[in-house]
Amino acid sequence: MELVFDRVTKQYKNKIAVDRVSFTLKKGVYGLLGANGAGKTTLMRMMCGVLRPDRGEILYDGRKAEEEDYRNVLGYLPQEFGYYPDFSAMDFLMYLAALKGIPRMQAREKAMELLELTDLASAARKKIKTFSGGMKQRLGIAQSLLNDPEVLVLDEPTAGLDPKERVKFRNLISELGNDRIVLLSTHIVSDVEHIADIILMMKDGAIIHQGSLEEIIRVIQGRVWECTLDSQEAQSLMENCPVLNIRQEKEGTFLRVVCGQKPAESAWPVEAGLEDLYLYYFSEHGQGGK
Amino acid sequence: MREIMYLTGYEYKKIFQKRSTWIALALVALWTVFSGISGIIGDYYVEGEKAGTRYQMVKKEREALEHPEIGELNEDFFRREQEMSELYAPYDNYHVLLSMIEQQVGKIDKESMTTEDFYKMRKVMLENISKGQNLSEGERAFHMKENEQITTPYAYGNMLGFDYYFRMLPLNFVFLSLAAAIILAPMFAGEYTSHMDGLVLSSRFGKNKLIQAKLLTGISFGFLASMLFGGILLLEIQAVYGLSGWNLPLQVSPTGCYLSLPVNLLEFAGTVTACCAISTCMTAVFVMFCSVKMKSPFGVIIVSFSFITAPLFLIYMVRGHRLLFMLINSMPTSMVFPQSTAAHQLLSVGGHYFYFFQWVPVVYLCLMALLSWRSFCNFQKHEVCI
Repeated sequence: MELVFDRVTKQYKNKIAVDRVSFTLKKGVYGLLGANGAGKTTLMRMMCGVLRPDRGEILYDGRKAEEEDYRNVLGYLPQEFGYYPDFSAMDFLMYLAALKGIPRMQAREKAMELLELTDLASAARKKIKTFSGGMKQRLGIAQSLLNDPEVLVLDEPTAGLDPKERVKFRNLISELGNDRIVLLSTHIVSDVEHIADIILMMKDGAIIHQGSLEEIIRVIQGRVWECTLDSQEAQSLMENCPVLNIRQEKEGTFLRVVCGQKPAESAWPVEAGLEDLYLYYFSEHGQGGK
Repeated sequence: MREIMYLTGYEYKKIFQKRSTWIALALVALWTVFSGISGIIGDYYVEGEKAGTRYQMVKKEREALEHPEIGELNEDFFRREQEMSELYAPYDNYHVLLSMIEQQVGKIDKESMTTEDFYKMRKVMLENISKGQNLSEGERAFHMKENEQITTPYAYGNMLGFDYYFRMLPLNFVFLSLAAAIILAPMFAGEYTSHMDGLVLSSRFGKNKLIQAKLLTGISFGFLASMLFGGILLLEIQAVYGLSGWNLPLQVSPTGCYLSLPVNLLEFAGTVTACCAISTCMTAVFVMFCSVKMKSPFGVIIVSFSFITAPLFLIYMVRGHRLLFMLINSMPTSMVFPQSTAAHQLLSVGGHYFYFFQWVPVVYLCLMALLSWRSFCNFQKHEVCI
């Protein structure tokens, strides 16, 4: 089970969305992190065969992403999850099961099982147009699992879910990663932090970092500081270092910054997190990739 | 194949879940029902005096035409017609035919018309039409030969039902084509606007069997709807006017008066209905092709409506230009008009002549295959862009 991206490039007019990206995915959960416009969705669409790379290729165990055999083992939740408003949840799943080539009887059982899993069993016969945003998102997750995919691509799967549902799906995705390739993209850094075995950081169409949480955080380990300064000192520091957090306190302005050396006398070093790394790369003063 | 049929079922489900589908079909059904019975609504006047209802008139005319003594356009018929001092139902249609012939050959002496005169007049009429339409020598000879194949004296009887069918059919099918455009426009474009394109194209059958199922749905919808509405119209007409004159030659009905095609009314009804069905299927394929290309169902409807209605106006503008006439007259909307399907302009291939109803369906089948294939490739290559 190996999904290979080989110098994959995609360009929209004069903007390069994905720039010669090469990496290999094996069993496990992969988290794709990047700011808006970094090329995450384009990369995922190419991975699902709904967008053709201008150059390079995507191969799954030697099969091209455009082939039916590959689509047969693929589960996909797009960022903009479409649906037919007048279909019931059950009809929708049955239709997608038909598109995935699942026999009718088996499809019905699987659809029921997934509706239970996503807490939609009671709404199975209701039209999708009556669903809330969270219910639609859960239905999207359910459909992506219909064919028990070997490759699961989830573009912002937890968007629109409440914290309880998010945790539930985080755990589910984590479980799914045991025997398949799961690639998820999200803006919710804590989701990736909790479940991704490997994190891929994307900026300007290129993968700028990849590795486990520990490996990836190493870049800024020992460079994250917190301090409380008066407003003038805080302002001066903010102009020179990427700020990860800022809040007003009684004693002054509390700052969490990334800095190669101790930024102020009163600053103390803290353990770096993925969010720090994300902000370090993608904030206004971001350094990543440069 | 089973998967394609299963997916076709879902495509039909998608179609019939839309309110616009039901509204469009209801309007076509209403029009079909109305057009079938419109001839019997209202009253019948003779010289400003109410003579009865239209239904009574139709009933009387039908009974008269089905009377055993009116069997042929022969000596007896002409003698009896001349003996009648006032208009009598079975001869109404005959007078319409005479008037139509008169329009082509000039004033004729109706009083002393004999069987021989009638058939001679028809021949002159065909020659005049051939000259008027600038037909080639070959076409003229072909039509004369065709005309000679019609058994004379013409069998005569109740042609009312079939003639009414030929008159009502075109508008019914123009409306059906417009409805088909509304119904089928979202076939592919609807996937783009509902953002389902990403999901369906990434599924196992999304780039092959689903597209085949969609095309099958569109074409079968065109065919089934044609059969359904054509059938409803025919049933209504059978109930009101009767179809007992099925074996009469086409030429005894006003629709076929100018034609030389040696077929009976039933054969011609079958021919024009088949042309209507294949035209609707052709329109359906065109709509689906636009649907793949255009991304918005509304745009597809606009283009399809233009495609359907333009020939109705253009046909009058190209009468004098043979090539343009052949082109416009072969468009799907033109092919729902009985006179267009059997128009005098023929296609000549290797010394053989073919009527529109013979060569156009062949062209349609080729075009449908080509457009379906292009639609297939275009949807398969569709890219889900930001």
